[in-house]
This record gives sequence, structure tokens and C-alpha cells, in this order.
Amino acid sequence: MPSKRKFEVSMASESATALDHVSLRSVKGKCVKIVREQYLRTDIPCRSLLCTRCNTDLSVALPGSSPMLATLSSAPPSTDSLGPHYAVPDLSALTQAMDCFESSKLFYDVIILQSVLEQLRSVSTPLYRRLKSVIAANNKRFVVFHNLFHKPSFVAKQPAETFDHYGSRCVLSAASWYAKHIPDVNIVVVSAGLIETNDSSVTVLPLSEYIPQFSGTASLLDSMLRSEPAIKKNPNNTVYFSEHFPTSKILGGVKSGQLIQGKLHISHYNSNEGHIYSSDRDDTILIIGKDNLNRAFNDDIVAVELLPQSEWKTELVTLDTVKDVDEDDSNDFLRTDSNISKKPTGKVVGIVRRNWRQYVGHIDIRSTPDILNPTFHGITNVLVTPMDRKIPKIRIRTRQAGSLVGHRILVMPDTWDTDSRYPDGHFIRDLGPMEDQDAETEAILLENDVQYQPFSQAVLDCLPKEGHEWRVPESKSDPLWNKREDLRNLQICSIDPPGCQDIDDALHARMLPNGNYECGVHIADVTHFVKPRTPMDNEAAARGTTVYLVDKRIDMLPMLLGTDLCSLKPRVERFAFSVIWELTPDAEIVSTRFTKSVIKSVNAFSYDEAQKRIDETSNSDELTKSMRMLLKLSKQLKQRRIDAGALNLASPEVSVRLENEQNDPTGVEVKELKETNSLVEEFMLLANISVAKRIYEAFPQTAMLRRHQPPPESRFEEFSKELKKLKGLKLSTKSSKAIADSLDKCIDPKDPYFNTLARIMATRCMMSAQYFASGQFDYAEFRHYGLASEIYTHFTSPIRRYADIIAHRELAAAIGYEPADSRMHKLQEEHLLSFMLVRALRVTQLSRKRG
Amino acid sequence: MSRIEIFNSEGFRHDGRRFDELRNFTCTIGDHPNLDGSSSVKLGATKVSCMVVGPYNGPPRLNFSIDVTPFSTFERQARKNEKRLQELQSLLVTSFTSACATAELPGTIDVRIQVLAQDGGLVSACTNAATLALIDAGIPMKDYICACSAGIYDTTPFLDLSNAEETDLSFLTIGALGNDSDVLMLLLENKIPADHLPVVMDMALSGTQLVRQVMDDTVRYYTQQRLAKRKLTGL
Repeated sequence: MPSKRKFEVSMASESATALDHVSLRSVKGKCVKIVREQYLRTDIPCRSLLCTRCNTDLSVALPGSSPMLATLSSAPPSTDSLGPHYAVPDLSALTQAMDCFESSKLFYDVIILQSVLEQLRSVSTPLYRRLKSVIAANNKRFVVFHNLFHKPSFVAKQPAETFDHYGSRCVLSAASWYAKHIPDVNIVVVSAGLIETNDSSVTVLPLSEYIPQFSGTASLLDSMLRSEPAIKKNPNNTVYFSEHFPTSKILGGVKSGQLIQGKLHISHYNSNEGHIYSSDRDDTILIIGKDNLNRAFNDDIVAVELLPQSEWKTELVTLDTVKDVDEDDSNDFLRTDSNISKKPTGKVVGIVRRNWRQYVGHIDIRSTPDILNPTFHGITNVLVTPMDRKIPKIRIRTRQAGSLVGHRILVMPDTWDTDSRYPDGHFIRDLGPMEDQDAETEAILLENDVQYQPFSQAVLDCLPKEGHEWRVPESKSDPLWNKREDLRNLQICSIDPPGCQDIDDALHARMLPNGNYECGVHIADVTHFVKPRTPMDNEAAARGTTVYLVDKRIDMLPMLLGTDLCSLKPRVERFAFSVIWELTPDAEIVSTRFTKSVIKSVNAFSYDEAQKRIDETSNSDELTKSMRMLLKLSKQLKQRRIDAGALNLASPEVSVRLENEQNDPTGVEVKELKETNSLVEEFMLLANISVAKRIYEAFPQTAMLRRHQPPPESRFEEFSKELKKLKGLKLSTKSSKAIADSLDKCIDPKDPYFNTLARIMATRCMMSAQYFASGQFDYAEFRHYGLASEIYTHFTSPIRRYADIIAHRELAAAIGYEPADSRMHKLQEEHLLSFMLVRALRVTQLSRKRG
Repeated sequence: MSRIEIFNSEGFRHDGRRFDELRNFTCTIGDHPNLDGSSSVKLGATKVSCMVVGPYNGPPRLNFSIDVTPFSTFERQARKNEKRLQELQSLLVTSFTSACATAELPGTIDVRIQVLAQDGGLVSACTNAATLALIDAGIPMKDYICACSAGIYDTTPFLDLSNAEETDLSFLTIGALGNDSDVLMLLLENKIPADHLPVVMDMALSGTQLVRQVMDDTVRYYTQQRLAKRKLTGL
């Protein structure tokens, strides 16, 4: 098995000295001895172009890693007082001014020390990620210098030294080394804290003095403002909130069961009310009023103390009791209705983890009327009302308040002290005037965490070099034809909404000599272009799905693939992944096979066109005949599915009418569903189910599947009660079949829309479907309730959904087309991925709703 | 995100090594003059000592026993993993039985391995220590059995994993017989994709050659010292 390839291995001690760390730590109440060896090297390059001594080819032999090329420019940024210099930020600078490091105006040629990077990672994961992406982008010449592995600049931690003190010693030691190593350039340590040095070769400068040396940084200074003590509107030191418990008390309390830990969900209707779910009690705990919420934000992980039973209240659910609540009187809800069972209430006593992000909002003019005065240019405190109603107002300090009024702005909360009514935050970016289409679109995308930046160069580099000229190779001996079936002679067509550019799927049907039908579903072979673990794959996985907005589409894959090379366009040869069945005239499956193929679609129809072609009895060409076959079979398939209890819950698809590209929407219309819609849908469902079965067979642990749990009875209570009261109708929720039947009877002769409304309401009561890896659950729990299928997956839309890409790879491995990617063996990773996809999908739904 | 970064984007492992670097490997032999053979091996922070008694009257065979001291891991614990140790013992017995000319041995040989500290690479440290102690005891062997582990991170093969890496990565341990690197022993307890397996094995085999070099130097050094002593005392 070994190929007798020799690696030039060496012992680490040849270029490094070993250092043993032995530390004692307490883990879960036990004393644990941690032994860590660390090798201090002398061969770590400084990565400056000015340096001739350092060997930068260290990692050339290393597969899959970028060599540590010299990156720091030989003509770094220069200012009058500092001269040409490399900046070395410390931890405090990075935590307080990450926005500046991301800005294009300053901070070029920056040395990020490993010690600082590790400290940042332990302090804040989001900031760490942001810094990593700045480093990876490589356009601002940030380099990581591994000072903890570097013998000359390494300093050992003293026994009782604090985190911050050790951090600054590391920074200074590395900066001094650099200063001696590259004497031509000044080394400037930038800090927001207090660092002192007696080494004259290193300059230490506070951030607030460093930033103004560069032009155009006034707005960036706003994002720094929070470091100065904020002027409180509260001169008499009123304390509005009670202190949070110390961490040790929270951990102990949660462990002993006195406190309950959970994720805070703020009510949609009232930002002063929220709840957490406790799995121990299997119940939700209400948290009512600002005092009890005690500075917690939506989505924070909080620790909650239960209030005495006498203060338990009923949940505020009915709309008529919701008032527009003023911030100041938050506790005055009268809930004395004793008929409804009381829910436990609690008080937040500590925040285990903040889930703060950047919030989009606008300045509340009422908070500071004087900013409208055009002569006013000072620094002022303003309140920002976030777009998300669950988030409290955030106070920021800004110099440009006047020009920001009426704009959508991006802000980030930083702290919330007990003596402040509002959280303190800082300004990040101006998105543009409110109600401007671009600003509002960007706001929606930001609020829903959709990545809308254009694809990076690294992603674009993964595209085929031929660009739009890419063709299926003519010669069948080409390796790309390997294990691919030639289906170009089949009468394949695609049916999509009008104007569809990313054509995922195409269909065909033909009569077999034995009287059975052969039907095929051909799906764009995206995985031929998107190989695992390439930058493009990572980007697609991070995006998760294509997001459709009213006037634009945020693609999961670059345009070249989505709308051209993968898209199964008519009269062009394209790679496809085909599922081919033999069906009896009663639409029973005789056999199924899967193959990678090459197809040439005859025509791309819209639903209307397809319908017309089928209806026109004079048409008797082969294509029309096969479409009629498909239609006939799809009706049988649908009937069988409905008999099995599939629900027809599909909320009506709406399309927004636009006068032209630039104009505002002029109206909303409900899309009319044709028989051909259901034709395509049925065959896609059939393909998904067949693929799900096949990949589950091949990968019993890691198959990427999708399931839909039956809704608990309790979810329907409210809805069926209302139905009964209003219309005297009865909703049976025994099984999906029963629901489907009783929904069919929900008809009001006077109101034709009523049935659709009832279906929408019923959909709201359902659980949402989820992705999972087959090892997570028993087979019995795989069931897709809404579709009444035992097993289901997503396979048919790989251009716009990442889950389908995984299914494609798994199916390709299952049929022996290509070896399984090692990633698929890592069950856990897949779990993670599924969670990510769920999140991404939810985001899509949300933005569709709002968009 | 895991606690440590196994492999950072600049190509360093969490302890400052490159992907193809072995930890500090040092060994001594003849630590216990009263025993027939003894050795101690340090592989990074892993420390193992080995004692050999025999051959003594009995059937010609090798017995292995491995003793993991309770203070050797990060948490003081009573004996655990008894089954794993038994498996390791039987692995060593089979490997060494084929490397030593066991059938021609004059009697039974007991090899006792004590694990003093563990930081990954336990199997390779035990194998190397046993080889050295058997050589010290003068047991005829075909060649050194040198062991080394290698794992895979994504597509990069790693040489000689530490404890932190072993918990996160798939890895294998190879024992090679001598210079021409015949694979005598191969232990793979988790999964490595088949197309990556040759690379990982190559990496481990390259490591065994480095290990062999160190072991050979040590044996020669101690032998020369002994010879010198003999000349002095006139024996």
C-alpha cells in the first residue's frame, strides 16, 4: 500500500527547543494536570519585503497550505510624526476598533501577533472571525507573526501574572524584536489601553492619537467613541437595574437547579416581555418587564431565577391586550384572569453569553431634538431605534448626528451598565436614507444575516477557465465522459416559471416496448463544478441558499455556473445527474437507476407554454406526447400521495409586479397554479424520495435527509377553537389525512379566499421541516409528515440550495461514480452543516416575508 | 470551535511544529543495572520505561505486561481501559515474536513496560522502549522494530501526534522492521479515507527511519561505553 514516497521528516528539536507547560486546572470540580509541550523555533520569518535574512519558503513543501510569503510592503504607510511604519495592534485595540482595521482608509501593513490573536479568540469569537477574514483577504497586507513559537521574542508567563499584563509583555517583546530585525521601518504598537515601554526603538501610541493621523477617518472615530467615558443622562446616579450575579454563582446555581439557563426569546408583540424554555421543567418561563429582563437582549443565553408563585402570570397572547407600551411604564400589565392556567415567571440574574450582533436602525429624533439644528456639530448622544422590534433602543455617541438623521445606520451595542436605561453602543456605518430602495434592501439583508457581498477572487478562481465558452467535450474518450451516460438523444424538456434562468431540472418520458413508461428527471450536475473544500464550496456552504428578493437575487453560486454552465438550457449540451424510473401504466415503480449523464434539452417551457402545448390536441409530436405521459403519471402519483395523507398546505406563491427595473412595486399578484406546476412538483418529489432511499442505503449514518415531524395537538388548539367560533367548522387533527380532509371542507361559500386562508393558518401551526443526518434518528422518525413520505431529501435544486449539493455528492459516492469525500465520514461536521442550513433557510423565509 | 487550533493557516501545529516534524525523541538503555535489560524512552512529553527479565527456565516465549501509572494522564484515575491495554499487549507480543527468533530462545522472557507520562504516541513509545530493552538484554532480533504514528488533518499528513491531536484526528501507528522499512505492525483504530491512507503510511514510515537513526545511535553509544568500561576493569 505505501508508495515508498519519502518525506523529509525532521525532529522538531533540530530547529527549536522544547518547553514544557505544566499547569493545574479545575475541570468539573476535579484537579486536572495539563501538560503541553511547545516548540520555540528560530526559523519563523518576519515576512517583510525589506528583510533579506528570513527564509520565507518554509512551507513550500507543505501540501495545501499557502507559503508564508513576504507580505509587509517595503514602502509602508507613513505619517509626519511616525514616518514609515508597521503597526502592531494589541488586544485592546482590536476589541475596540475592529471597524478601523476593516476600513480601507488606514491600517495597511499590520503585524498581528499570535499571542494577540489567541487572546482575541478567547475573548470574542465574532471579532476573531472578522480579523481572520481581514487577514485572509490579503488586500491590506496583514501578517500573522507567531511570537509564541518564536524563540527570540517569546516570553514565559509569570506565575501570578494577569491576562492583560502578559499580553502586553508579549506584544512589547515581539515589537522590540521587529524593531531590531528591520531597522529601516518604525514599529508602532497601537493600543487602546495602557502600555509602557522603556525600549526606545518601539513607539507606543494610543488608538485615539493614531487614527486621526490619517485623512478621512472622522467617521471611524465615531466607532471609537465608546472608549471615552460616556456622558450619562443621569447625573444623580440612579440605578435602574440590579447587578448580575458573578459567573461562579451563575454556574453553581444552574448546576444545582436553582437557576434556569436558556435562550431568551423576546415576544414579537412586546419588547418588554420574553420567555425562555427550560428542558428540565419542560415548560416556558415568562420574563415580564424591563426590570426582570435586566438588560438581556433577544437571543442571549441567560440565567433566570424563578419568582414566587404569587407573581406567576398568564401569557400575553391575544392581540387586543397589546398596547403600545411606553418605555417607562413597563410593569403595569394586569393579568388577573384566573381562568387560564398561570405560567411561572422569572427574573434574569445573569447573562451567560451575549449574542450581540450589528443592528440596523435609525436615530430617534425625539431623543435629542437639538441635533436638527444645522449649526450643531459637537459630539452628542443619540438613541437609535433598531429595525428589529425585539431589540431595545441603543445609545450611541456621534459627531455626525445631524447628517445621520433619517438614515438607516448600522450600530453595535457594547455595554449596558446598571445605571443606564439604554445599552451603550457605537456607530459603524451609514447605509443611506430611509425608504431608499438600496438602503432598505441592504438593511433587510444585514438584519437577516444574508451574505450579499460579491464573490471573492478566490471563489471566482474556482470557475472553469473557459468561462461561458465551456462545452461538453466532443470526444467520448475525454476523461470527463468517464462513467457518464449519453442521453442526448432523449426528448428532454424543462418546465419552469417564466423568465427562469437557473434551470435546475428537466424531464423526459417515453414508452417502453413492454408497455411500461420510462421517466427521467435530470438535475443540473453542480457538483461537477463545485468540488468539496474549494473556496467556492465553502462559500456556497456558508450562504446555504440563494435568496430571492423582489428586485434582485443573491446567488449561492457565481452567475457563470448558476445561469449558464450548470443551468440545463435548451439546445445546449449540459452535464446532468439523472434519475430514471421504469413505471407501470399505474405509476408503480418497477425499477430506479441513477447515473451521471450528458443531456441536450429540446426546449425550455414556462408553465403556461407547457400547459398550452399539452392542451392543444392537434399537437402530436414526440415531445408533446411525452409531456402528456408525464402529466398522466403525475396525476396518479399525486392521487396516491393525497390518499396517503399528504397535505396541500402550500401557501400561495405571490409575485410582485414591477413597472420596470428601477420603479417601485405597483402591486402583488397571486400566482396561478397550473397542472404543469404539479407535474414538475410530483416528479421532483419522486426523485427526492428515490435518492433519499438510495443514499440512506449507502450511508446509514451520514445520509443527508430531511424530515418533518407531526405537529403536536396543542398547536392546533387555538386555530380550531377560532374556526369553531367563527365559522362553526370542525378541524380534525388525528392524522395528516384527517387534517387534509377537514381542510378541504373548510369552505365559506361567500368568501372564496377563506379556504386558502385556512390552509395558511394550518401551515403556521405545523412544525418546520429539518435537515438531519440519518444516524441522528431511528428510521421511524425519518417521516416527512407534510408529504406523507417515509423518507425524503433535497436533491433537485443544487443551484440554489447547498443541501442538494451534499445529496448529489452522497449519491455520486453511492453509485460508485467518485469516491466519498472524507468529510462525509465526519458525522459531526454534517450535523453542524445541517444546523447551518436550517438557519440559512430560515433566513431566506424571513427575508422573503419582509422583502 | 474547538479549544485549540490543530493546524493554523500559516502551517503550524498547536505546539509550534510543522506537519512533518517529530517531537523530541530521546532514549537511554541500561538504566537498571540489576535487570537483564532496561530502557527508557521520551517522546515529547510521553515517558515510558521498560524492563526485561530473562530468558529464564520455561517455554520459549515472550510475555508483555503494560502498567499505566495513575499519574500518567492529566487526570488521576484508577485503572481503566484494561481491554485496550490487553489489545496493545497482544499486538506487541505478535510483533516481537516475529522479530525475535522466538523458537530458538532458551527460555521465557518477561517484558514489563511502565508508562510514566502520556501525551500521545503511547503505542510507538512502548514499542521503541521494548526494542531497546530487548537489545540491552542481548536477545537476538532480526532488526530494530521502530514505531511512529501519523495522522491526517484534512488532506495534510501529520507526523507523531500529541495527545490533543490524537483526540481530534484519525491516525495510525506503524512499526517497521529495520532500514528497508518492512511494515511489521500497523494499528489503525479509527477511519482514514482509502485514498489518503498511502500518504499517511508514507509519513509514518519516514518517521520510523528517523526514530531508527536515534535508537541506533543510542545503542552504539552505550555499547561503546560498556566496552570502554570492560577494558578499564580488564574483564
